[in-house]
Parts: sequence; structure tokens; C-alpha cells
Amino acid sequence: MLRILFAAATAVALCAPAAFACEGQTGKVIFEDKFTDDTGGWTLGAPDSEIKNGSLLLHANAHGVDEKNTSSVAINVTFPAGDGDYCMEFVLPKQVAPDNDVGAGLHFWISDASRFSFMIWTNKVTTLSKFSGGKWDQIFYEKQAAIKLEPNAVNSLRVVAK
Amino acid sequence: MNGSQIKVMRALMPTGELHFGVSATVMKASDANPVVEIKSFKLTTGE
Repeated sequence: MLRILFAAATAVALCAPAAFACEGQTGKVIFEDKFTDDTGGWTLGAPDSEIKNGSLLLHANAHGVDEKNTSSVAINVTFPAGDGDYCMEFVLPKQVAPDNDVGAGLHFWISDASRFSFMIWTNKVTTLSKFSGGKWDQIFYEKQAAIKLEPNAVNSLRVVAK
Repeated sequence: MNGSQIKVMRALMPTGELHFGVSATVMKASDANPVVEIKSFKLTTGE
């Protein structure tokens, strides 16, 4: 059995987000990407995902109202990793409608058969889910008032898996 | 949040080569095309 620690932090762009971002990550750097180019080894495919203007852009609904898969996923296939201290910084869009929220997720421990996903949603909810046996199971669901939804507010999401 | 811990859990790590990734999801399809903007990603060995 292994122990996983989940932590998340948020910072508003106007308040020097770099000072808060991913604070406390420890150990040697295995992988780092600021998306200045497309050499990071992510699975990308327009129109769902692209690297542009120093960001990895994930279009959740690029194919419109008839789209059946309303997720966009980019997996890093060139830097395999299991245990580690993962952190990403991202900007959430506005929710599409009061009953149609958008989420950003960090996936880890991805194998052929299973994966974990820690998500932050525009309704200020965090969820941890596990995919296995061809379906997703939600492990926990929790409201988090600190999630920032203001335009250009940078959220940081950190997962320590060990 | 803001540096505080949300949850500590125990789980069984899968075997074999493992990877990581990022995602954006919208609950229902619509004519809108919301975009999640990933600014940076960093992975360290941890303690």
C-alpha cells in the first residue's frame, strides 16, 4: 500500500503567482515544462490540444454540441513516472452555463489498465477519481472555496504520490 | 488550498511503466468551446 498526499494552492495573477506556485515541491527535478515549445513529449492533436503562446491549451469541447467525448487529454509519453511530486499551474475558463461546469485535471499513475485523476471544477469542487475496468469511480468529492475563477487567475494543483 | 492539504489517502500503485497527463473536461457538450490553459508542469522526485 502506498500513501498519496493531495494538496492544492491557488494564486491570483495580480499577486505574483510565481511566488506561490507549486510551493514546497521537493527532490530532484524529473520533468519540467513551461510550454515555450512542443518538445515536452505530450500527446497533442488539434483541435483538441495545442501549445500556443507559452501554454498548453486544452479545448474540452472542440467539436461542438454533437461531440460525445467532452474531454481533452494530453499524456506525457516520453517521461515515464510513478512516484513523485507533481504540480501544475493553470487558468480555468468561465463555466459554460450554471449547470455546465468545466474542470481541469492532473492524471497520474497512468497504466494501460488504470489511472487516477485529480480535478478542479468551476463550481469550486475538487474530485479524485480512478479509472479501471473501463469505468471511472469517484473516490472523493469536496467543495473548495479557495479555487479562483477570476479571469487569468492562476490555480496550482499539486499531488504527491509516494 | 493555498498551501494547505486537502486529503491524504492510501492506494495501490499500478505495476509496469506509468505516465502522467493533464485534461480538460466539460460536463455537457455545447456550442461553447471552453479552454483550460496549462501554464506550467513540474515533476520532482519528492522526499
